[in-house]
Amino acid sequence: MKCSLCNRETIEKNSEFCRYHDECLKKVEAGFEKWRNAYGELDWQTYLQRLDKRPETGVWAKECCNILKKKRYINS
Amino acid sequence: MPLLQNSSPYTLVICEKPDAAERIAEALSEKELNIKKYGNIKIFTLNRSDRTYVVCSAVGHLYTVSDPLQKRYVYPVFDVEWFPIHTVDRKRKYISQRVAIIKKLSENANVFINACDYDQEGETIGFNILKYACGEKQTTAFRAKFSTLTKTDIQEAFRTTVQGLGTGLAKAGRTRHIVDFIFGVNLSRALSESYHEFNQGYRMITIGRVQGPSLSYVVNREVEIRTFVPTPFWILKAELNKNGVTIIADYEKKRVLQISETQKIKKRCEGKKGVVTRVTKSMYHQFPPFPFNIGDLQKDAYQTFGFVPNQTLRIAERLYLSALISYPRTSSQKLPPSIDYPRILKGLQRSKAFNKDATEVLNGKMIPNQGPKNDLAHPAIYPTGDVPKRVLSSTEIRLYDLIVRRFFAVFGEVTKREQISVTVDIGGYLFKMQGKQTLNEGWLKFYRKYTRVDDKVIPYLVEDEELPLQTIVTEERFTQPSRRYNQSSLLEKMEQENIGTKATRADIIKTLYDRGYCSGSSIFATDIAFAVLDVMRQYSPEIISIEMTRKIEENLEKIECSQMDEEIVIHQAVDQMMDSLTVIKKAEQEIGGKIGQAVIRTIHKQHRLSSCPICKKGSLIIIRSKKTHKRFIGCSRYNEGCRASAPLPQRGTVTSTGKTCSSCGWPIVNARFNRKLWRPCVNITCISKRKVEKDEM
Repeated sequence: MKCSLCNRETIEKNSEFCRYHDECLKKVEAGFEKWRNAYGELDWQTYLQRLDKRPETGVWAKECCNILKKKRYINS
Repeated sequence: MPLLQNSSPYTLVICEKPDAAERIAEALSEKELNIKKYGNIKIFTLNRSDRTYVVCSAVGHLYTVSDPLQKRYVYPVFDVEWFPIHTVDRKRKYISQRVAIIKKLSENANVFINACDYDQEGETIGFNILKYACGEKQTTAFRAKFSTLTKTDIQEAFRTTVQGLGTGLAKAGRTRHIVDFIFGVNLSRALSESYHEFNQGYRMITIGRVQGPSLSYVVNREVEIRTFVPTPFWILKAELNKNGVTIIADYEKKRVLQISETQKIKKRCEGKKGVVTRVTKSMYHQFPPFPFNIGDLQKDAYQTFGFVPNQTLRIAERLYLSALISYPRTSSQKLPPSIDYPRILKGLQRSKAFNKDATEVLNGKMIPNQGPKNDLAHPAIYPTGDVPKRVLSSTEIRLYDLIVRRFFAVFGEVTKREQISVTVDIGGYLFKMQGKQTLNEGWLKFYRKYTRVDDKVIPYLVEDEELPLQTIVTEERFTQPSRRYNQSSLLEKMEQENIGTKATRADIIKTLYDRGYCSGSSIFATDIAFAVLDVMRQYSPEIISIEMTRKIEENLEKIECSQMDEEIVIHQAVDQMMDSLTVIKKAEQEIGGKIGQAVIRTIHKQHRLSSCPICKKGSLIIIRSKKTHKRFIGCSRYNEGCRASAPLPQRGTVTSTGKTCSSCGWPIVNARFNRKLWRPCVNITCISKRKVEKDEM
């Protein structure tokens, strides 16, 4: 299986992402708690939008933001 | 026919480089110096104390490790031998004449002196020449040990030559070459062959014992940056008033992690007065810097002049060969009194630029601030005090100035500085400000040009003094990712982790660039670097582990001190390689595919200029025509019917600026030729160009 974001090998046969994007996804998800704690009230979509706009955010983290945003729309 | 007319036995002196040979011959010669030329090769004959000396030189290594088969597609190879370089490397055919001349000269010599640089590499060069070209003279030869190429140092070195000195160094040096060959050649051939088998064309994909961990630092940092998720925090500053002057104090916590807390502090402080609760003054000393070793010099030269480590090493070597500085490839931070400080300073007094400072140091205590690092072979880098006999280039002048001023600074007095800390209470919250002032310049006066001094003056304040609050400023900030490595910080990291040697680290970094693993002055890891490292992690993880390379470095040090046998280290390397290569061989197809894809991605990224303004789907890339060999810009969707194309200048370099023309949307490129740089829009029918033409008419 290939990573849906960068075409590298996925970590496991059934997983969607490579080791780098998988690690990154976990970081983005972990970051939400820190942001919510910092701003008080913050929903998941706003977090992803703001994170995507920050210049410090890594390129892979931005790619993960975009895929997470799309997923939310599909789920909703 | 004999090379020299005088057929009576003589002393043959072997030097590492032609410039060094010339200096040594000049320093030893008591009367006239006879120079004989064979093409580009000079041989010096001189008389000294009723004995004839013949001085010849190598040009770095004349012998190298290789496998007897010398076929780039054969691996594994563990049966290695030393060969003259010209038999291995076709580009270095010119070495053959030099080897032949040394062989011929050795026939009539009855005493041999090794006068190569006294370190692992120099000792290996001398040892190999004495062993292979001179016929096993490595054990009976004498050693001349010197750290500068000044006349006095050379004469002293030849007066005190020792037999058998440096055997440990030579053994360690030769083992390093063999071990590096076993690791480097086998793994690189395995990777290159995997690539070659499953892709079109041949590409050097290399990895080695030191290259592996160095590459992993770069890639790990790249991953850290690309996956970075910033976290918000806030900083608070109080603007206070003191006799009409605004002074700023920072909230005691450098980061406030919640916006609610930030707002609460701001609200509670507003309308209150600041009260100075504490004023403390403390004096502290800044000790002089340590004398330069090569790593510190490379670091400072990069920070001050932007010289990359390899460039600094080359410039320093030229200064050494001109007898202006001591041997630069040293890790020592110590200057022993035996180098004769007053003599050097008196020498520097002759220069207008250094006269004042040299006199001041000469009148002082003349005790250098020695650093902790030691190198048994050479002291730290210092100026010899000799006057330049040739015109120095601008880069040489700058590096020489840095070395001389550092030499003065290490003898300087301590710098005395005062720090004033003031704490202000505003509504129960503490804010702090800090001032710094230099009281006594000390060594800074010699080195101010190359040091950043952070003096900050704050107004005079006393305890219980009230300061009206103007406002509380809050700023939202975000955590920042780690900085990318640059050549200097990567070298520093290699030094910290003790991988590679002082002589090879800069070359390893250059190789990372040459292989296309890195790009940019702030180092970016390319897709090829990721692919190579991924393959190594999967199939030979020990090659990228720092532990393995560090262990080998420790073993090499033991060989140097005759505490370990070189055979053990070589056998360990072979055993390690056998396991890795078996696994790689089985997975050749997979490895070739992975690296091949990464190479295509990297080339595509390097050649991509912008998205196509015509079809809006493809990318504009730089293409070289197979028919005409001319380069032009075309769309990546040519096969799907997009005919967007533009011509490019055929000479010089063309790189992407990442920008597009505001008039037509086509890319703007950096075109460089003959040191001239211009940034044209590549679209020949661009409206902006028409405007210029009309204006000109």
